[in-house]
Amino acid sequence: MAEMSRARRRPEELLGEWGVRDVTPQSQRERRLVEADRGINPLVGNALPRRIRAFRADAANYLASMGGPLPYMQRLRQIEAMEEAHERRLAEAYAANRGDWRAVAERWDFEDVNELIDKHNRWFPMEARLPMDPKTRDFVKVGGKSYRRDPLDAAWILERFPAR
Amino acid sequence: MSEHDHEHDHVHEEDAAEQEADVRRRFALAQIRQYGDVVLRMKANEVEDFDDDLRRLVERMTALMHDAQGVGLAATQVGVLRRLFVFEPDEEGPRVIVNPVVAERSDETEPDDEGCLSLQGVKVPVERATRLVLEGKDENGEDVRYELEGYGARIAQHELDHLDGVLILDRTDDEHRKEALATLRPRAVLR
Repeated sequence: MAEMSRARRRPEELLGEWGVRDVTPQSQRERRLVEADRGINPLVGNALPRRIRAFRADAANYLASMGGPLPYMQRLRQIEAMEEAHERRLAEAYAANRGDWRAVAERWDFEDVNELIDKHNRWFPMEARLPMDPKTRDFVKVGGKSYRRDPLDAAWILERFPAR
Repeated sequence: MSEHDHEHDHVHEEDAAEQEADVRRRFALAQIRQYGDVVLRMKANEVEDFDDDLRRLVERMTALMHDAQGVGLAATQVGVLRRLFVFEPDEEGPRVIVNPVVAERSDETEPDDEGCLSLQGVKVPVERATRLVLEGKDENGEDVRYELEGYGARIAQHELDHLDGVLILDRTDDEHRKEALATLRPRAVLR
């Protein structure tokens, strides 16, 4: 008997893609109430915005309220721009170099960018409210890597522009 | 310029100052860990090095405490697992204590409402000792000893709790804890 009635059901019933059905007296009452409400409630039919009651500002909130990126974002952008600038200058020096490249690399001045890297390493977890992993008692990885950045040095240069 | 214009300018200045303070507060709160962040439940480690790093941290925490318009801030609240906090028990300016230890605590206790920069919108009654003597170091590694009473003793006990992962929710009664958790729970609201 059960097999027979199941066989007679239509595909849309099985998929469940139909409108509200009044299956119980309770659901019939609720449906009538909703219908009565529709005419006077401007929110009917609209998705309700969700908001976290406890204030948890994130980068998006801050950007929206201040109209600009957070200081740690600006600093990271600055670090990247400085790295690119150093790389460009190093490429020129590398092309022109006829002497001891290793000595040039060791004398290269990275003070400007390393100062920013130091600030990033010190303040990023605080400014970005980087979550902590209770097991390791260290901050979670960002994109699979530690948030910490190594200061630039001769090894960084020689990795990109090896001594000939 | 008329007296009315002066008054008008003054109102504008006050509004601007208020707006700036509000932005500063929001910016500071954006850096202070909020309820739900696991770091607030973690125990902080003893500070071993009294170096420039520590001094810079103290400076930053003091600025954050002021900007957030709070009277105390523990390192765990900014995601740093080190035993130190800054606080302002009176009008004589901010203090710092590193590796604090309770040397004396009065038997007499008193309930009062407490809020927390990490639990926005929550205020619950907490029973605290009315007198407390704290010993520890300052940011330069020099010995410090604070004899605190009333409000100051309350702030210090609140911040000490943070260093052990204890929140005011753990110190209040069941009824207020339930109310506070309801406030902290994410919920759908009409805007």
